[in-house]
Amino acid sequence: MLMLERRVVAELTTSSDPALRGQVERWVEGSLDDMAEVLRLGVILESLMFSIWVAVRRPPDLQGLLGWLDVSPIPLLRSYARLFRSLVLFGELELDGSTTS
Amino acid sequence: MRHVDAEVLIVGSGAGGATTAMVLAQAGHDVLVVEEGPEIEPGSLTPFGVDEMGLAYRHHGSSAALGSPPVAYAEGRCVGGSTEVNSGLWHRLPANLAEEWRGRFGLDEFSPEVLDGYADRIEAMVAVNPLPGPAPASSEVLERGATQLGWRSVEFPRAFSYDSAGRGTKQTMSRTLLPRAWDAGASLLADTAVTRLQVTGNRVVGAQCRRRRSDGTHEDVEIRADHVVVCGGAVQSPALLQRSGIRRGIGRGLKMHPTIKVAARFTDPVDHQDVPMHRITEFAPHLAIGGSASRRGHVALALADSGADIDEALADWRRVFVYYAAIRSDAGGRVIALPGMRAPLVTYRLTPGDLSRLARGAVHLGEALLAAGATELYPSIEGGSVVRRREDLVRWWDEVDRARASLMTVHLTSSIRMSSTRSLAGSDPFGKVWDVDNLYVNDASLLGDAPGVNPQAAIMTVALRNAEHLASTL
Repeated sequence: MLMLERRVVAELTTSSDPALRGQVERWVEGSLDDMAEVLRLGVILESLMFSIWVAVRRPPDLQGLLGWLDVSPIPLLRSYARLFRSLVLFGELELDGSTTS
Repeated sequence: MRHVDAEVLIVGSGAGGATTAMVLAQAGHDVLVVEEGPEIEPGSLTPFGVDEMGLAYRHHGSSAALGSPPVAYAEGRCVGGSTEVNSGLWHRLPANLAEEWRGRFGLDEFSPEVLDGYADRIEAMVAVNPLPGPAPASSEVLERGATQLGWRSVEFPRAFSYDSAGRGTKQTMSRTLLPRAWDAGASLLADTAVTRLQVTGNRVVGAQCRRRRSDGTHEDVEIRADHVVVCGGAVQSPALLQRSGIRRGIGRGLKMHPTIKVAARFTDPVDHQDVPMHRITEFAPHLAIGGSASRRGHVALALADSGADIDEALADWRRVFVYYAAIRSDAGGRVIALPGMRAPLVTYRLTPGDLSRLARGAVHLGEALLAAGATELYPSIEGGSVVRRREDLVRWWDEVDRARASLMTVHLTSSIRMSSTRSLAGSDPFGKVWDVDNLYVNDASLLGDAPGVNPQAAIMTVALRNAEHLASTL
């Protein structure tokens, strides 16, 4: 998982429990590692592009990036944010043994 | 490198592979089943939970066919294949489709009567039963909604056996046909991916494989076999054949049931342990309405698809359940093996008619759910309207478009097909790959089209037909 991807996961994870946050990060990392190569390549390319976007902002603005992606008119860009939101949301809710049915 | 010999190599252990292995082993052949995924103790994983997603699904359950819009899809990857992770709903191949495919593809011994004979035997082996008691509330929602609207609905049987207390056990391949194959002498090599078939002239002589050891390291395995039957499903089977240099009629014409979801909120809690057995069949075969896995994580994803503020609904998730409308699609897709990559590129481009059917499906689904007592509907449409009244459903007609519809499927078929006419399919009428004397396919990729219903019964029926034909010729 690339540095920016790790930061996106941390940003999207709502739990303050370090153990759960670690589990969610491993779940997302496992999902990305297991992704079809052609799809993973696309995600990596986007991550590299967005890393530059975030780096040139002062201060670096990850939340702004995610908000911008959410409303982008380009479906491919929206799908980047959606992928990470979905993986984190599903992982956080399903890995939290205290609340899952 | 490790070397293994077998008379018949079967690649894949799902509905097609298990059926083929059982038939050929019982006919006295030396059968080796190679499965890319792990062997998992039946019942040891929580259905649709994260462990199952990570261990029993390919790509953690999230692949996508590229297109506009893309269609997410999931495939099982473990001993028993997708039968280990699906809902077990059972529906025979509709007779009109069997007749259509028989004529269109020139298939002998493919009449509804002949296929029913195979289906009878498969159902006796697998154990297909209706729920012994009343259906759970999440399922009755569909029946109630249909009744209110004067529509037809059906409670489908499932590949489940029930004890005297009504507790059900899903009759997956690892519980049914694979044990029969092992008892007849077949052997299994799990955690082993077939990377390429070795083709010499017009014969397959073996397979190159990569096996994952329990310590995480890998070993190369070469399997020499007299006959090879590929049963990896509609995505993996054509990809393997293409990687092996066999491309004629392979990987084109992929079909699926594109599906749009709606998360419905009710006034009372809904069960979340099972998938509804009822389907609204009023618009079949072109449109089916049913229910999905609805653990808390699934509910959250379905709610979030709309992009609406979901915090309040998510906090109330025990009153929310996920339903779907699935269509038979006019479109076709492709499976394309890419050099140097394990996973193929999968594409699927919906037609305008498909999108129209999906919009109609979402609206009909909404009508049924509101009629059944739902108070709030969240569609899987980015920026889609959260609907509380029937008259507002009309908005979904315009909102289901290429840019915003969030679609998925778990049914992929027809990427090779059978035909007596070479130009129409990658295999002959019994699954033998054209121009390769000892290579066969026997899985979902042979179906003439996506059947509009859960395809497991059709896959196993055709697999039994083809496997017995093969056994008679070996």
